[in-house]
Amino acid sequence: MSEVPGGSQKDTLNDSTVNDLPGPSGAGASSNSVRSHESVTKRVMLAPFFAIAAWIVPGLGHLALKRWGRALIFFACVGGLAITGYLLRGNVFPPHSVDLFGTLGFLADASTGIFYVLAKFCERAGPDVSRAAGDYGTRFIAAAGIVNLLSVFDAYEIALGRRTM
Amino acid sequence: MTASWIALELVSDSQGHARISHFFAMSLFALFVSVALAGLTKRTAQERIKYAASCFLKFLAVAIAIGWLMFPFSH
Repeated sequence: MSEVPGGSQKDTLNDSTVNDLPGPSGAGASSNSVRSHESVTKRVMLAPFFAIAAWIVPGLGHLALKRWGRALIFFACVGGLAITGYLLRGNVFPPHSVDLFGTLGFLADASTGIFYVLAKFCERAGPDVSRAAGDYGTRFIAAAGIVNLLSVFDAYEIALGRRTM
Repeated sequence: MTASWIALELVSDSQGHARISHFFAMSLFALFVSVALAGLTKRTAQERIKYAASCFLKFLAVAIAIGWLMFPFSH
């Protein structure tokens, strides 16, 4: 699956070209520098929105950045892990947990974004960790959250222009 | 995603308990994680397929090896 290079990638190349030029004095160099600074500022301001989009719907941040391949991969993998976890009747941690393990579990589960909300629809019978399958399910859901966190950081880095691949 | 849904629906009993083997659960987990890591770290489709396949096989190999290492402790 080939990816269409995003706008941010092009911007990065342009900026680095501009920044690498030896510093000739004059109006042209000054206007290039101002443009470059504006582009960096805009990117820094927009990057959190791409990260939030990537968190809410896995792959949406990459989709907005025109990284179709990655968007599809992350949506399928995070969704696949989360839904498999729900079908295995894994434990979905609630927001108010009494111990640190529960809080960490909630953070991992909530990282799946919209799939955390879907838990109540997919897992109508509730969790059942008395069986091995339920225990596997808990791990599947947590892994889905961790994979989505990686995708969020990836989208953020791409939006900032730090990651060109 | 749909495939895993169908597979788990097929192996579920009438009470909604999934009758799933350790190996099947592990393979499914390895598949999803391998594909996600390949998507994250590689750029072209060919590189991704190679990396995902290699990662998936390594997951299985390590799990089977650890399983055999733990075998003496099961008795």
